Amino acid sequence: MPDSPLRNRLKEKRAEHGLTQAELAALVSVSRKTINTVENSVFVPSTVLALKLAAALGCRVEELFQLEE
Amino acid sequence: MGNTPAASDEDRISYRRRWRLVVMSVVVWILNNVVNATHDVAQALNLGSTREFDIAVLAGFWLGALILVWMVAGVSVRRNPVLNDELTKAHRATAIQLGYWGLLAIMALAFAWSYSGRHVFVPVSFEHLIVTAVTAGAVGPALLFALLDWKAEKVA
Repeated sequence: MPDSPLRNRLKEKRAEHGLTQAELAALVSVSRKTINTVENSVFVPSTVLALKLAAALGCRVEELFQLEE
Repeated sequence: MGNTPAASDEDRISYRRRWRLVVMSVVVWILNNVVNATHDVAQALNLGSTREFDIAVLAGFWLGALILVWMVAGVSVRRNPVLNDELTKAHRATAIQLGYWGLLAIMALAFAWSYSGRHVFVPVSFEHLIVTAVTAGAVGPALLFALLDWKAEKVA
């Protein structure tokens, strides 16, 4: 299903922080479904959401999202 | 397991929203068929007395279609950032796009149909056409929105 050239390490980073999808979703004011679809590369988040996710996980946005080479 | 998705209030509201969309779509679809059927019967038998029923069903159909459009547009959840987040907006945009193309397709088919048959021009009932077009424009997006929402829930 994932056909986006964007790869992400959201699941990994979220696990490092011991957060559930629902908890991370609450931190960035989106639904759990959105976090789930972003993690599985089904949905490409907006720049604003990507920055919010990076801020919530205390990392740079480039560490979370990378373009596939 | 920490990653197991727990059913939050938003999940439950989202689940109910999906079912409401499906049920309302079925209601509008049935009313669409009833409108067309009563219109045909009333015309064929020239029954003036069925007109009241016809009007009541037509009013029900329009009300149902408006409610469906209102539900897909997410008017009631506009101020809730979680229920109206960017994934939902993306699903809504995709669903409304289908409604737009569905309406165009119905109009194109009706136009093509009006030139079919033995005669060059076969009159197409405006009432049939508008009711069918509204059904396609309201039911199609509602069902697609519910499907996309459900699929997003199932992604793993």
